[in-house]
Amino acid sequence: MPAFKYSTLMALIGFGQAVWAESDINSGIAAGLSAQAHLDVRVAVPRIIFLRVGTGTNFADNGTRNRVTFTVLPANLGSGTAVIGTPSAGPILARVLANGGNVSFRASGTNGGLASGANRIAWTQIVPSVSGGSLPHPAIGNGAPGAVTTLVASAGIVDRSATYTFAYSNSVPVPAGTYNGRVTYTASLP
Amino acid sequence: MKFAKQLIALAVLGASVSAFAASDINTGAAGVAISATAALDFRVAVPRIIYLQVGTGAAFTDVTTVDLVTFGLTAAQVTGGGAVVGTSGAAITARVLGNGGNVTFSAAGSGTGLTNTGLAIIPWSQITGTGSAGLPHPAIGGSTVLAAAAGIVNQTTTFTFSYANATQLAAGNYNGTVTYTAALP
Repeated sequence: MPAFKYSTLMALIGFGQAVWAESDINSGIAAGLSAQAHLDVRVAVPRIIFLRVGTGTNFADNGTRNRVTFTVLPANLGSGTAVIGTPSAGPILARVLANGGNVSFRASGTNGGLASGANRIAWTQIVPSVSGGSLPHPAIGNGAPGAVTTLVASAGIVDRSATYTFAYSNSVPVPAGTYNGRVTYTASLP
Repeated sequence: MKFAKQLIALAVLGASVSAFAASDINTGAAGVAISATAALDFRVAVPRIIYLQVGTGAAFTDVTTVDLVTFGLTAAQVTGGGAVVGTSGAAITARVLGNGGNVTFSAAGSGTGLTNTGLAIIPWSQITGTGSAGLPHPAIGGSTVLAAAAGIVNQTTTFTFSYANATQLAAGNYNGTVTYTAALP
């Protein structure tokens, strides 16, 4: 008696959905008897974007904010000799990770520059440098995002990091004071 | 739709945190724009400084060399009088830099004038210095105010000097020292 293949029969009589069954039973005495079942598998990956500048925790929110301080020595005021900034908590590590294609990366400085009372130091005096990675520092805008830096994705992924350092150009004398400002970085997926 | 609402809620609740964070992660459904923000503070600490150079000096460095302006009179000038310009040290570089507003610039002569032991004294009123509009030479024994622009006084000029030679004097070297002071209030 030929092997009776239940699923084949079901297919022949029009129950095509049997090939998607979760169970299948066959019987017979011939070699090559088998049963099949299917299981669909899905991995649901949300779009994510992660940005870190300074103290941070990879792939988590971290509310700690770092400060870079430039201390101008009296003998150096306005001399044009750049003053290297000192971070408040180690090197300024920066990282962008996203899985939705190209990332737009921008930096916006507080309006008017760094302020000490009515006096200002323009953001153009703050010069970033990048080392140890491939995440460029975007131009710092004055009161608005500066020119966008596009981080081109590879196979849909952007995962770039670098260490940022900063210098104060110190190209002109400025009135004494403590000048404070903030740069807000934004990494966006369209 | 539900997820989009969650995103909006998260954005509203988390906006202030994200704006000050050092790291930020956000998620979203396909087709929904998402972004992450991080902030970094900057501070430039600028001390009050005042710098004064008269004669030999180096920018923003203490130099102790004191220059000498000499009025070497000719015989005709001894007998005929008339103003004499400096014959050495005739052009003296001067610079004032201050970053704390207006600067009071003063000049004080030693004693009552230039002296030569046992002889007459040349009063300081006989010595006149000339600078520029931005950095005038104060009267010796007086002062002038250098007005700041945007909190800064940064003036450089060349001082020249004149000796009035109004009185005949016994031969000799008459010496004196002018001490300049630039001061921030």
